[in-house]
Amino acid sequence: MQSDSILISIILGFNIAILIYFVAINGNYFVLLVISYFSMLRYRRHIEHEQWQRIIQSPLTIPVSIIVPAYNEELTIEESVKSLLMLEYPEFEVIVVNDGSADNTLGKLETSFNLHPIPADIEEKVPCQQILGLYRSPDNPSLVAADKINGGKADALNAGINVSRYPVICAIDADSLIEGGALLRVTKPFLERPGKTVAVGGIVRVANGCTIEAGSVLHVGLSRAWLPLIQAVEYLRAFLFGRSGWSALNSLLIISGAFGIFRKDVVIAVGGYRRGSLAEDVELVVRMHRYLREQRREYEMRFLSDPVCWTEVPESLSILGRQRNRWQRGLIDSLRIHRRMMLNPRYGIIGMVAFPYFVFFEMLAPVVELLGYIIVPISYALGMVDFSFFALFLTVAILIGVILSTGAVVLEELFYRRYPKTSDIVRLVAAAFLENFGYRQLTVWWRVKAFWDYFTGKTAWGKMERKGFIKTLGGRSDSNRCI
Amino acid sequence: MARILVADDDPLSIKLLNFRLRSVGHEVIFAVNGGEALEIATREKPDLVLLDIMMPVMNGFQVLRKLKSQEETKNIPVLILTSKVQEKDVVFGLEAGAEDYLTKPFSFAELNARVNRVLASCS
Amino acid sequence: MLEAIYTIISLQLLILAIVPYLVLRRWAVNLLERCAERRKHHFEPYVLNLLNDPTAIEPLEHRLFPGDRKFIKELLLQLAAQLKGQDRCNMTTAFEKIGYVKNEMSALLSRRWWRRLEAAINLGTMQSQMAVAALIDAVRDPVEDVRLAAVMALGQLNEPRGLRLLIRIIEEGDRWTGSHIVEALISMGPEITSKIIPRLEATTNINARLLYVQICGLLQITEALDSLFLLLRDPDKETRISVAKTLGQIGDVSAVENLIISLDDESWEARAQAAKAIGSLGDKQAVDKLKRALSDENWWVRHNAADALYRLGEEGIEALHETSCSEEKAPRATAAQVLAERALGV
Repeated sequence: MQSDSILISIILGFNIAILIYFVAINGNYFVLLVISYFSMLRYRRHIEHEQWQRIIQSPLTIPVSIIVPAYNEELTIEESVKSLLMLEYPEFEVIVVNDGSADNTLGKLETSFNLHPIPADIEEKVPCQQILGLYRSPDNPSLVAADKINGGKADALNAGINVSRYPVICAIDADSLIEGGALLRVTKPFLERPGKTVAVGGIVRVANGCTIEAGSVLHVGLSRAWLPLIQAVEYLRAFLFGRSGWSALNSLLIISGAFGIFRKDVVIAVGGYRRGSLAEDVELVVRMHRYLREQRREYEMRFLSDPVCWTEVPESLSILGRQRNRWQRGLIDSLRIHRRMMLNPRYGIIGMVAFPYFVFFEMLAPVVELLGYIIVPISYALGMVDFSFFALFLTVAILIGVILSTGAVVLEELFYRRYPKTSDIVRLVAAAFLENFGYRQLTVWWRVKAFWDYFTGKTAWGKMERKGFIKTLGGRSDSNRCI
Repeated sequence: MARILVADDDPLSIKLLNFRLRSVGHEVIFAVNGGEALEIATREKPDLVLLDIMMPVMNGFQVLRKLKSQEETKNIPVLILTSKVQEKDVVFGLEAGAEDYLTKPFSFAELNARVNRVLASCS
Repeated sequence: MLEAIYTIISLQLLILAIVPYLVLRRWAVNLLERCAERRKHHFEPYVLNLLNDPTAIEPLEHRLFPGDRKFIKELLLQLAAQLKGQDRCNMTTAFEKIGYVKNEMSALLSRRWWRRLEAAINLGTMQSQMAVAALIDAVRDPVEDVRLAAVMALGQLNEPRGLRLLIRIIEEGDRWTGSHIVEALISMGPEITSKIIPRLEATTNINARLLYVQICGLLQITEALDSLFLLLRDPDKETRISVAKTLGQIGDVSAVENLIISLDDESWEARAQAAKAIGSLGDKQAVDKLKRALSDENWWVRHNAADALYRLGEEGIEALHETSCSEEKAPRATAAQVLAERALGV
């Protein structure tokens, strides 16, 4: 009898703890939503009247080195590079790093852009695998291609840093499509606060469903398939209130590897990207925070919601699952490496608020959620908790999610309106519902499995598949980066 | 007097150029991106091409190079319109074969003068 | 517990209620935008005619609905931004006649800061001298964006009172605000030369001096050369770097002797900028010194020196060829790379 009642109390305790956790995590999201709303309201006024024509002609803009790590990208590399070369920006260079591709990536580049090899004089400022050759194009003076021994994405980025000439680097993915005016917008904080700004991130939007031609997004649209549609809402949620909110608090812990701008001297000072990292973009930013705080330097890392990078998202569950698995492993890895920042007052708001938040509410969330989905219904079935508790649990776990996702769609509609048709908003709201009734639970499962994979030592990246840029339908792809 | 192709992705810019060039008697056809510009130039063979640099699909330099490498279009004079004031872009454009350049914002007196000069020297 | 559930559900419904409102609003906005486009098309010929004859605005005035005023204004401002010279002056006259300038001047006093910001920007586009006094006041606005917009507008107006104010701000303000002022000043053109040179010598504020040096470079003020030569030996590193860069931009060959001495500066940035500047100026007497700079420990200095040698012509290129066979690795690699790149034409 005694052991029974102890058991029951424990289970009851679990139930209550889980409920509290859900309330906490969703409460946090609400706070972020509100912060994001107000910060966007202010920001919108600033950019409404910005005179981009003037800025582009200004002699004071900072030159940027764009680094594109490429591994087995022969299908899309030509389009990507073409679209980068057309960016509206006064002075920049595009450095494509061929990371020892097994396919014809380099060959494609050579023919499309008329590349010629030149003797390389490269100073190794951050460690990387040997660079075999450097190529330039007389038709495209801003293009530089580097060929090197395979070393992984982080290594390729480091090679790009070594080859680059300009004080600011922009790390992007080979399959990202950066909008024409995005570079101008994303470097604005460097002009406004040159001493303080060290990193800026732009927003990543889902390209599936957009009309794309020769690397330019001609018309914005939503995919007809459900999976990319739901991901469109998911990305809106993650960026419009996740990043926005944290940026407003100057505690941005993640800048997407699909579109991130960094001051080169700081990146070099921290040693460049970490080789073999599963989420090198997250790891770098966390390490930069650590370094700058230890140096007691005043700095700012910002997220801007108007410079846009379009990216293809997986359209099949299996590829999506692999992607989320890798992201979660990357997150765990990065947080584990820098665990000494956790609740350490030396690291200011990052150590005391952002880092613990990411550990408890981003990294551990899937575990708690999974436990919740198992324990609470069973407890209810066994009569240990009453109906009102169960209903409350369901409301907090699922229904609030719907509110938050709809909130993201509302923010998008209030401030950005990138989707032109009225029917688009309706579909986004529908997707906001569906996201929470099944999709989210699926990602929870993938992410929990990632924990298992991580601790049993699986460190591989998993197989990538690329099928070329999608037009208005179809296309399968994977993306090797953390959101 | 002459048939001029205006290629620019900014609709207002096209309207402005259209208005001014028409008012001095030229005939104007236009294109809104690089791909269209190339296609129309090859098909219609205008007397002059006013080419903006920043355009989607294909930028002005790429169109310029293609025009100068194609047999049918290599003798059509090109004037590049650029809002970038970087010296190297202008030099690059001229070296790639453009006859002259015009920086935006421009005045109509300047536009007329350059257009007339280019047309005169190439006829 | 049930109360908690009810609250959450009602919150949910509240948020969901916003959605139909937004959908309707979007539908309405899309519709209005299409109508607006049609209306704009209707007015375009009239507006374009203003370029030929600014007094044509009078007949236009009478046919305007309040909504139309907004289109016309937008259209006119967009057009103005694309023009310069006589046509821009014509537009300024048109703006003054229609009363837009007065309108925006009173908007500069609006309580909403974004309206003031818009007003300052528009007054800059309109380039009407009537607005100078109002803009000078706006430079003291509590909101930073408005101040900057007012400064840029004064730059576009090219007016002596505005110039004096801008110079005073450089002396008072911090470096960042200063860079916008630099842009505003250089848009005024070479007329500001006589005001800048005395400030260059007299100012004690290091940041201000850096800005003046920058302006001398961007406007290529040759009259400032003597003062700049003195500053090339200044104890402050940033000053020396900036002056080296400026001397390259001004383009006067007489600077080369001084720049050659800077090739031995203790700061690598100064050495690098000096090498680059010598390359732009093109004086062959620098070839030997540049060749020695190819052995500098810093990559940028070596690279700029190699570049400069190439630009100096035959002797420079020959020096590069010699170095590309040298035994020292760094100069050899640099010379080889620059020769190959230039041969390709990049």
